[in-house]
Amino acid sequence: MENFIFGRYMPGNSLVHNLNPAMKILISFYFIVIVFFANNYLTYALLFFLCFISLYLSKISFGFFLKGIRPLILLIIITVLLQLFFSAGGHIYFSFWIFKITSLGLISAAYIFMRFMLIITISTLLTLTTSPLAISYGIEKILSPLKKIHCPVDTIALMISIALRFVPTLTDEATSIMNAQRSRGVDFGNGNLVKRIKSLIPLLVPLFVSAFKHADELSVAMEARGYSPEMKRTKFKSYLIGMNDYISMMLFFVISLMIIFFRN
Amino acid sequence: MLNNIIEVKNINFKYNDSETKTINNISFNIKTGEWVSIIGHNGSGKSTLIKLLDGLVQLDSGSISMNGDEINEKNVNKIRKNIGLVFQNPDNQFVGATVEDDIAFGLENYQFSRDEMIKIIDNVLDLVDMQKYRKHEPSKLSGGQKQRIALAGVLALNPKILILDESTSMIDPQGRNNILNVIDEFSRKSNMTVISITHDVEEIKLSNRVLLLSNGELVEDTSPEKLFENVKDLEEYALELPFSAQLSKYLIKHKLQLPNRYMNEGELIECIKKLYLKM
Ligand SMILES: Nc1ncnc2c1ncn2[C@@H]1O[C@H](COP(=O)(O)OP(=O)(O)O)[C@@H](O)[C@H]1O
Ligand SMILES: [Mg+2]
Repeated sequence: MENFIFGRYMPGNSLVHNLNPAMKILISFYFIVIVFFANNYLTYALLFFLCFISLYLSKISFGFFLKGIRPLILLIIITVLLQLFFSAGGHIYFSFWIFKITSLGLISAAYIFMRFMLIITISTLLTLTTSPLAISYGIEKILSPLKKIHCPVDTIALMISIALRFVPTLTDEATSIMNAQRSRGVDFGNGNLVKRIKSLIPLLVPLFVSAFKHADELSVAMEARGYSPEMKRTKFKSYLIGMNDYISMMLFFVISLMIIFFRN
Repeated sequence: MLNNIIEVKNINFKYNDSETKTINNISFNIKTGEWVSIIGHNGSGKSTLIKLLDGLVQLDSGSISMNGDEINEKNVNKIRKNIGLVFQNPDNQFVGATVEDDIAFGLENYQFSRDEMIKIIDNVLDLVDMQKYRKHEPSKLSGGQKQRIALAGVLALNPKILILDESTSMIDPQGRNNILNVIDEFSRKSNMTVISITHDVEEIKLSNRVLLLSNGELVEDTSPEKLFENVKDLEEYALELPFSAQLSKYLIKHKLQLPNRYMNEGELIECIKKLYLKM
């Protein structure tokens, strides 16, 4: 699990790290959408080229990246094999019981594989180069038009960032509760499934009690510091939209135009 | 009558699910710039009393005035801005994901501009000597450092009154002295009033006045000197001797030749060294 990098953040100071988080999230979604427009080798090649540039500019080593997404590749291969064996059409190369390998099946399996690779690369790159806090800021910015229909976007973003801030606190507590329970003879992670699940109870109950205590005291502390969900607040964190943001937007836009042009 | 920054008159309060009154007919005044310690056993109503002062829970009867304005639902926000509250558990008051974000939280609530925030955060980080930790996450700080950030967060709003609810009880003696020194200096400079709930004798010595609460009643309003003269049994007042005093008491009990008076840690270490050389 140590090397598994999907969804993790790697602090750094590259061009990609310093892009505006809202922009980065939007560009990633835009990329995922255009992946579905690609339908021949040239268009896929363009997309891989784009991924490669982004990865290069993020200064994350290529080998590290590949090793990190390896666990996901198993998942992709299963999907690709299903596609390969069960899709019909075109020339039949091989057939056994309900399995057949056809020319169309081969092609669509190859496309599915490439789509998966592209989507995983871009989304992993997004989380690797954007801190959780920046992601919650980005989401808030993107959703801010919803404020017009009285959706409490600020409150939701604050909730996300407080939840993220408490992850290490609760992890530490979970560790000390586990140690305390172990010293009383609780056996975590051994035996059959039912036993293992049962052994989680002495961990989860105190953890929940403590989480509620945190929440209770934190809400009083927040109110004492002048927080009120109805009031307007100013913002300390701000991410400017710089030249690099415009350039990357242009790059993705141009490539998407080329894809529309070159697709069959 | 601006001499009294806080005037509390015959206040009563009971939690919905409790049978007896948590606060029973308490009255007192606090002068501007005074440092007041509140002592008493657990459950005597100390935390409830300060929640009432900050308008975090509502009075059943009686009145509380701050700077001559009686607290009501309308002005509670304005009054709260003048009161800084630091609680016991540092983890449960850290809102931001980093030190500077956390200090900014209170400033954002009171709608300071970004430029003002940057300046103020810089100042208070110097004040609590945590400039180096500006970008650190709370999980990477010690308990004492977290409390210093909590203090910085409330001092950022330049409060007229600082209230500490056992703020130093979960941190080591050095961290405690550190925080108390910062507060002492700041309160002298800006004539800030300090109310501190504590069990620590050293902290009480810093104060001008001591209020003793018992079962929701104010049973004593005295000076630290008078309190220590009259106290025969510290336990009765839920007080703890400082660590050095506890240790020397223990050592004397075990027949070590130590002077039977209060010594701080440095003096005690010197005494023990001398004893050790004689042996
Ligand atoms: N939120 C609450 N709801 C109901 N009862 C409470 C609540 N908070 C405190 N109490 C009760 O009020 C009494 C005084 O509590 P508190 O003010 O926290 O005392 P202290 O701070 O002196 O230890 C205690 O008996 C406590 O159980
Ligand atoms: Mg208390």
